[in-house]
Amino acid sequence: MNTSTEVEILLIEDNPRDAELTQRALKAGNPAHSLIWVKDGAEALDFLFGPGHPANAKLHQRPKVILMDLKLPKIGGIELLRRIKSDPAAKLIPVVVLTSSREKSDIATCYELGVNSYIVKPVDFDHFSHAIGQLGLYWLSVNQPPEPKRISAA
Amino acid sequence: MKGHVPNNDPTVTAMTMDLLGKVLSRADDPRKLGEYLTEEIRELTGARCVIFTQSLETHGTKSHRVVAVNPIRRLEWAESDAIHQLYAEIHQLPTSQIWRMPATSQTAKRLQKEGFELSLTVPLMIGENRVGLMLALGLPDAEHLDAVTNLLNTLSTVTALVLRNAFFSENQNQIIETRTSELRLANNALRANDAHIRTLLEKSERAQQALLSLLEDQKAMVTALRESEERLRRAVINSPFPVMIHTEDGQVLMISDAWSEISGYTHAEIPTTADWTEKAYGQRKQVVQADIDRLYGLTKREREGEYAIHTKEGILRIWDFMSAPLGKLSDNRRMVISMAMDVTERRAAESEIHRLNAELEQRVVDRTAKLEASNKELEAFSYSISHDLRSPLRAINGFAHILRKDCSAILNDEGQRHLEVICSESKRMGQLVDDLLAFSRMNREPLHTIEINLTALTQSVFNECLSHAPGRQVQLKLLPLPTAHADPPMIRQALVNLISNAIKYTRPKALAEIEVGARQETDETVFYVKDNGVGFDPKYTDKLFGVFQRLHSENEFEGTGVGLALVQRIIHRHGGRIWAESNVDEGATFFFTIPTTKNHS
Repeated sequence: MNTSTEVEILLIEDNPRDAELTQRALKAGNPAHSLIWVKDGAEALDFLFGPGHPANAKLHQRPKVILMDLKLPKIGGIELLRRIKSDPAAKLIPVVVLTSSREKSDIATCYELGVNSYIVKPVDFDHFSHAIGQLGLYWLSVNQPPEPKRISAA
Repeated sequence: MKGHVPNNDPTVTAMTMDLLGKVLSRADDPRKLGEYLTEEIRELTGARCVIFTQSLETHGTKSHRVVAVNPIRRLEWAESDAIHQLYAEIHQLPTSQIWRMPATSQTAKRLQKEGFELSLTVPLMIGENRVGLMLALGLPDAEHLDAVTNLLNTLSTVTALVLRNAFFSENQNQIIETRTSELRLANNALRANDAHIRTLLEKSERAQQALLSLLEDQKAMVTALRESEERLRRAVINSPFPVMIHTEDGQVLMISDAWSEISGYTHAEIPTTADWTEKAYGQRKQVVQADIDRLYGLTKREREGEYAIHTKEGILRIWDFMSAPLGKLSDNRRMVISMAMDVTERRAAESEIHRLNAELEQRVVDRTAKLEASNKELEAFSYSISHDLRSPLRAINGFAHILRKDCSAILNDEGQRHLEVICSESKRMGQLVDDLLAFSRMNREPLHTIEINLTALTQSVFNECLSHAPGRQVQLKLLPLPTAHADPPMIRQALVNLISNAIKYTRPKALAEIEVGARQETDETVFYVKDNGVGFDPKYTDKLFGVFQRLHSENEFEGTGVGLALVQRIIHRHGGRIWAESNVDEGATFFFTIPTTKNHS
């Protein structure tokens, strides 16, 4: 039921190097997938809820998984997560936090807000590639997402 | 010469003359004269008894004294009452009388009765006065009676004179003697009186002495009393505290100098408690006066508490009062002593202390806030490190990997090796950053202890650590461990570090052996992790637990030098100790303790 034009992965990462490494690792594990990369929380909300993302905006896009950093410009990762997980439609989308932070408070807050996975990015590229590759495979192929409550207008 | 006296005989006259001469020669002693005469007359007359008496008249009563009797054996008879009666009767007769038988008169009968039939009695006359009698009793015959009568009459006048003179002299002597004796008696009486008076005087003197000593005692007592009173007065006056003695009618009896010095009011200015309350308490005087009035009912000392008084200079001072009942005065007024301690300075110091405490507390709050802020900064810093430091490292490592993979064809071996170095060093730096962050987190995070099954935890940790050491043969000898009261993630971290170390440093061994055990001490459990690895030189033991301290080169054993520092930090935060024993190539044993006192739950 997914079409090739549908965005499967929404990557929110302000660091272009990390974004590049992440995309490379995803490709290595999962060559054929569609991915949108945005650089901050505001862009991410624009993508999900439409430009300006007003408070009562309906969900526009429904990626299979959202990969996000926590340290983001404009709207930070925690705030973005809260916004996504407080929207009835958006909260059904699995969110994976990809971060360098091992801070307990970060981990706890994310899980309290309903994060689906929390991954500390390894420095070592081999470990990194392995982790991201597994991640893509898992969320795009292994994991069974719920049926969306309503189909968005095409 | 015995015989009868012849009448008118010249011999008789001579005899009479001789007698007279002899009488006169004895004129000064009537008794000797009497004895001589009575003897001579008896011999001359032949009378059986001759008596010579003297007539006396005292206070109108006549009496007779026997001057001499011959023979002398008739003395007692001559003094008898019957003969004295005879003297009195004969004394009545004015002339000489011859008494003969038959007796016709009372006197003659009396003489007859006494045995004298013929007697002659002659009064001794001086003029009309009869001064005495001469009695010749029991004459032998009446033949020479006239001659005898003449003789005696002749003798009688001279004898009377002699007798009178003699008796006068004797009387005089008698009188003098009597007077003297009277005087002596009087003198004696006087002397006795004198003695009595002296005794009395002595007594009086003693009494006076006693009185004086009593007075002295009294004086001493009064002095002692006065001294004691003075001491008391001085004790109050010179007391280092404000002291007031007052009575229930409000009179101030005494105040100490300290009272005056501190309050500024002299005793004259505050003669009553009302004056005092007026001056020292102003508008609050009634309240305070009521407090004072209540004191007179006290039965034991009481702490009244602190009162703010106004001194004469208008300065407020804090006096802490205590009062005690002093009993009653002689006029029944109840008396109270009130003593104060001036606690103004102390209160000021206390309030200064309070102020300083508050300031200190504020400073602590400020400092805590600053510390919290700096902690926040530190957290932000750590956060920043974990993101900002690790991101570039990841990029370096990542792109070096990509370069090595994508461009391997155009890189020579040396280039490949350089890329390898970049990859490994950036990875190591990433590890260093991770360890440092973990160490810093360990210091900041609060401890949440629970009872932990360390046997299961150790097994789990060992499995995990071994999974990171592929290809290694490691045997774990896990002895049953007691539970421990600890923070689970922290104690897990400690075990991870110790066991991974054990695995790491046993790498040269074909068969690595790790033993984990414990022993129970009085108030702590001692755990140990023992391996048969390369060990270490015991002289470097003190460097083992320091941050970034390493005993092996990076080539021999990789590591950042943070692991054991982290373990020590964790154990210390649990109130335990950590140490290690080893020798080179003899394996190492790491001991750590966890207190068994359950202080958390």
